[in-house]
Amino acid sequence: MKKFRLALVIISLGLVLGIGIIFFAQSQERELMREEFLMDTLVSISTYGTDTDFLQEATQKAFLEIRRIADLTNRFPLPSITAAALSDVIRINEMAGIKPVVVDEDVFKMLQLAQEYNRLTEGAFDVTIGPVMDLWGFGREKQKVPTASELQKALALVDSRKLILDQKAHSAFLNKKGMALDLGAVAKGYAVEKAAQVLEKEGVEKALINAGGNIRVLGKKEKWKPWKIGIQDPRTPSALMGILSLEDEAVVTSGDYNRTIQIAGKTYHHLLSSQTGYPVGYNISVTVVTRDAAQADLLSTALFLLEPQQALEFAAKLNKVEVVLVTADKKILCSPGLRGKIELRPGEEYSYD
Amino acid sequence: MTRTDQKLLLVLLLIGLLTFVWSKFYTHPQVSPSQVVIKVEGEIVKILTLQEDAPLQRFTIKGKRGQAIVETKGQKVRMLEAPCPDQICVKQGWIESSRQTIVCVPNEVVIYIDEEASVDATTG
Repeated sequence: MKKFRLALVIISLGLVLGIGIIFFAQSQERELMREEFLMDTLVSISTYGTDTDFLQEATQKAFLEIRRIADLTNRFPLPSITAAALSDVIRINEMAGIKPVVVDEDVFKMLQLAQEYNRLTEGAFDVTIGPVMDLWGFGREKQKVPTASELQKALALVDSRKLILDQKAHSAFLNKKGMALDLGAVAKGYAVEKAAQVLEKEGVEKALINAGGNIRVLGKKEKWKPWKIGIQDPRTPSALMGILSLEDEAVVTSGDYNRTIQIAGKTYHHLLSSQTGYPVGYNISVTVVTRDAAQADLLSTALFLLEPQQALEFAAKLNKVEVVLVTADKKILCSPGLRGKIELRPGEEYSYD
Repeated sequence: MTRTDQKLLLVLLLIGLLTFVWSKFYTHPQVSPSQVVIKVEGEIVKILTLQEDAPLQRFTIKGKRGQAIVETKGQKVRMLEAPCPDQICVKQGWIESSRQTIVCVPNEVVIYIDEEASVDATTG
């Protein structure tokens, strides 16, 4: 009888412990990471929580949103009719000089944002740079250095003031034939921000979205620990130039080493001047930290196109916009708001205060 | 068997059971440090362990577009050949740290080195 009671005690103890462990395991936070190739890059979404099914569902919805923005803004679709029909950008470009095109709300917002920064940067940032991009052959099979007269012709078609946005009709119109939009500087960041909003709406509190260096974090890494985001050394890809501590923020970098083409042994990057049509050489890289990934993406390009001092002054006028900039002569400049949020540890070739 | 023996046996059995339950929940298949992970269309297709003095090795990977050849030497890895038009992945050359990733968008192949990372993500 005594034996029986002892066994009973031990078995029930085991049961209680076992159940306890199962509950403990289920309340443990887990990471769910999914990757997809979208918008010409690898997009990864990491979400954290106790319920994997829930995370899975939220992640799927976020990817759906990125895919939707990608389809809407695609400039070079795969050779299928449906892809072309889905893209508002292709339709706007095809109808340049012909008639306005009614566009999706998100495309309209992107164009408004782009136009606002075109004004603010006095024309330096321009999403109607399409004809010049095409001339060089960015995103196309064949690349070449354009001649001066070719450039002149293409540059005459670059003018955001000729992009007519009609708020009531929700339409966009390039009012000169041959004009072309290129949303390469906005779309990825915008898509990342929309994905973050989807995750937030679904109830995900902690996540990291990374679309090829376009990064948006939700929440913190741990209770007392922000997310640690490395900034790649622009000249030594295996090294980090600095580490940012972020929470509920976005960071995007534009660099002269990304999306380059080689012509006759020379390297050209894709951040072209709306004045000269040539790659802009004031900066090596510009990293922007803000709350909103769309703004971060757009600004990283816009600031890259400005001279370093001008870029910093411009950023200082904006609300909650922080910048890390590497100038052409390898000087690292940081906006004052980054103090305490960045740990710089650049290689010897760089200088900073 | 004395009663103490029986108690001991039961306790041991219980510990065994608990360890079993514990391990079921806590050992997810994990990639251990300094391994090369190769993914195609988001799925891991190959994991290679890298020794510091390992000789040159080549592997064929079947990507979405076609066959690619991956080369490893010591703790470095590179894409030697890929069926993509831009050849960005091949031109990138060797990678040797966890912060670097070789991504071939057209072929949907990702190669990275898995080790304890100091950052959660990298921008650049």
